[in-house]
Amino acid sequence: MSAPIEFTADGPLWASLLGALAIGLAFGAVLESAGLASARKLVGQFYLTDLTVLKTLFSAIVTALLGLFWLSWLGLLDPSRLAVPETAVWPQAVGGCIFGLGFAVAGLCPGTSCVAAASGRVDGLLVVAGVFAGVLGTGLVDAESRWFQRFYALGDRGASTLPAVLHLPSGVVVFGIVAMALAAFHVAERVERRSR
Amino acid sequence: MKVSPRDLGAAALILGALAAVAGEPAASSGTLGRGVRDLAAGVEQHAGEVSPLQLALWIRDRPAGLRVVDLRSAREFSEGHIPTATRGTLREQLDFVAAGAGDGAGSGSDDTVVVYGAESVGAEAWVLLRLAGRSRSYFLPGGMAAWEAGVLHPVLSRQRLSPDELRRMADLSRYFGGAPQIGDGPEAISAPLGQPPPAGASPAAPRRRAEC
Repeated sequence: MSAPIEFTADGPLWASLLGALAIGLAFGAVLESAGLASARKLVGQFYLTDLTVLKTLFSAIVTALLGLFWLSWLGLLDPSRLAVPETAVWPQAVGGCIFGLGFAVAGLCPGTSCVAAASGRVDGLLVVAGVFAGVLGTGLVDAESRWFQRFYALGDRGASTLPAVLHLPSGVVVFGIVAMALAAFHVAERVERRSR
Repeated sequence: MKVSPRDLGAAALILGALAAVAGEPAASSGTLGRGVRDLAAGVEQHAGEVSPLQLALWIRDRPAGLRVVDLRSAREFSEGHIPTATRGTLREQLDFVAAGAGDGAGSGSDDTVVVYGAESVGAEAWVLLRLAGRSRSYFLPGGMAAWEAGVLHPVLSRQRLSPDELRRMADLSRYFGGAPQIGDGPEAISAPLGQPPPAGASPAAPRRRAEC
């Protein structure tokens, strides 16, 4: 687990695994209680009739963002322990398009498909199976195709962060994202009201 | 006390506004940053090293963005250097990184930089470049001497290399004007070549984590 919390770095493995399990349970429970195990609710995002996904996930982003910033600022958390996923512009842009298409068609994303499957929904099980098949197939192609390996590395920027890319202090970026989220919530409410 | 979404939004806005003027958070004292830990792991795994024949393969195949930098003196450089290498100093490399000019000296962020110099200069330079954020950087252990021994006068192990690999390495040596020999002494090369790096990447680059 890549938590920036001291006990997970040097403590026993079972503590990290237990922490990961607890976080996973909480995450799944929250997604389920927010109704995000329902494909109908998720697809409403694309038809602009139900923007629960945007509001839920953006709320999570803002909560984590403010929590990480302030806990780091208070010295209670070491931000350098956070794993920052690497950026590769082209494969991630193309992968994002494919992901969006799959999300709209399946009505579920990888995370919510697991929640739906755990809730006993057949559509969730099928999407999970599809996700694993796609991941396995891509892995096999990656192992054999030099073209794909080159494409996978196109536009590799390493571990990029917004403050570094924008040359702005972290706090300013935090404020910008919070403001953007609040504006998005306001717009989402208006869009939903108009669609009813 | 009931908290409404509006109250939460107001709290978030206040915390966000305070963050804008609070200054940068600092890493907690007494712990090493992740960058240093990752670099230590890289040193232990020899992640930054590139063998002479591997470098020769990269140079021959000319992937986009490969730059070879010779950190030795002008006199040593003029006496002989690795093909396609340009002469530079470590300070120049670090100055460009610090100035935020892409990810290295005069180059875009997709470039792969291989440095070499006298004795351990290459390794020292690699550590500093990685600490400065130049993620796609490597060094040639042994510098020019290693190039001469490993590419221009390599001894290839007949017992531990397949015939195809043997032929491939011998051809690579001759491409650069070398004279390969076959032998099985302790100095014989027995490790097969990796793949040439795709544009802007190398076989040693870690795979990205998938998140969902």
